[in-house]
Amino acid sequence: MIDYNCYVGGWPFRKIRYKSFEDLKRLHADNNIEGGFVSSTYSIFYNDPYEGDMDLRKEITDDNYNLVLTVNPLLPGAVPSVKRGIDELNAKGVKVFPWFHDFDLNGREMKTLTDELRETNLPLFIVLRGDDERLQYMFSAKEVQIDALKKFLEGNKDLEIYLCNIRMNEVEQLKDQITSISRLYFDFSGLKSGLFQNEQLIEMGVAGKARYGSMWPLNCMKSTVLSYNLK
Amino acid sequence: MIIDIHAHSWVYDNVNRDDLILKVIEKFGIDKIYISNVYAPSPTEEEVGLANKAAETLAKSHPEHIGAFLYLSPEHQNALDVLKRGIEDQGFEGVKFWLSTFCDDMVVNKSVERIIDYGVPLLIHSFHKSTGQMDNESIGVNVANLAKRYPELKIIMAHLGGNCYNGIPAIRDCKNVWVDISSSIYRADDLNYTVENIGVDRVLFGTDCPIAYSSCIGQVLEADLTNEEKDRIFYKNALKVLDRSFRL
Repeated sequence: MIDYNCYVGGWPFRKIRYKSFEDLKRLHADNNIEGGFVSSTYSIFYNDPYEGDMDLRKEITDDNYNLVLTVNPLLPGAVPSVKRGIDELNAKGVKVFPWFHDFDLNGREMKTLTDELRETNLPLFIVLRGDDERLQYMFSAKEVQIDALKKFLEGNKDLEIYLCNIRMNEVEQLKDQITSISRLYFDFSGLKSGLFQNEQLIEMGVAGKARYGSMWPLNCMKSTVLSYNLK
Repeated sequence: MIIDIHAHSWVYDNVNRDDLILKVIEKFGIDKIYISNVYAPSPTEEEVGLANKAAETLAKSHPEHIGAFLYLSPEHQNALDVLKRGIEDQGFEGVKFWLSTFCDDMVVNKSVERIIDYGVPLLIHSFHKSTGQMDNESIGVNVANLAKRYPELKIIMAHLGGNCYNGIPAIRDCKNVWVDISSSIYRADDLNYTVENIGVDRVLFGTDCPIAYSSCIGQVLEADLTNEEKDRIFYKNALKVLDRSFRL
């Protein structure tokens, strides 16, 4: 099993007890997870996310783990950081956070970024939310609009895209895109719609597009593993 | 052994989930699951009766694995009658307050005093939200107010108070308040934070089924606790709170 949505680092709104790459590896080993696509939580909040990515590179010492760059498309260094990240950090993906960086998924900046992804053949991870909306503290995250996301997905069918921390009702609304776009996937970390989520995904015809993702260290990893493995 | 102190076979959508309760007992190896059926945020007396009848029927059909808490709207004219019948005749082992009134409203007092007499625990829905807070939805501060008013009352604050950073500090010094971990929240640090603040002996396992299940089990398994401490959360603390001879 691979973790398609994990992080290393702290969180500004509460104490994170375990947050290092070694902690991540230990928990993955405990849960029979062989590796993952990992990014830096610090990069989300830094003025220059690349600084956090460079720190992350120093921590990742295991070939089973792929560094995923954090990119804010609105920043002037966004697109150059992708090529730089490939060359300097061996980056294997790009992650964007529209709920925090407040950019238009269908705007000019994202168009420039997706053109770069097309050229570099990196997957794009779109994180739809951070904390559970009910537990936000001190700031309100921007809600990612499903219609805007649909438009973006329809316009980028050739990219490899992972929708992270998505809710079941959003999967339902994106069912047509998930089933018809060959390299569009979603992760399990944010599905909170009852007990037997795999059954719901099978009923929707999208189970084959689900990938394990923990959203660790924000989420309890064992909780997401047990939910993902529950058949 | 696992005791789930907080589950529902009916929730606000009024779908009967008796089969689901039986399925989770088998699937997750649950020794006992306590259901409290809720019907509407502000139910009529008739709706309370229907919900409780359904819970009673399910519990009595599987007494070895299913117990029940009485759904009570303490502002109802018939609340004391519902309480008396529920505990004395229908076999309910605890009482549940949901959303019909804040748990520290003075209207609850007569019911609470009878609950103390019976020696059963009071499970209080408590959920602080940054968005979507419901009318009359209690939070940790409301629970603490009631706990201080009635220190003999055994209270279970549900859901760690929703956001544990709001709920747990509020009840930290209220020794008559236990908490359950039920809900669809499965943050990595919530249980460790809770135990660090109120100790392991005041934490109960619950799920809020059909809202969640395996994610709640995962939180206990991953917490920084010994196996013995995990057993206290999984069932030992619940046995103590449910014991009517255990008085504060």
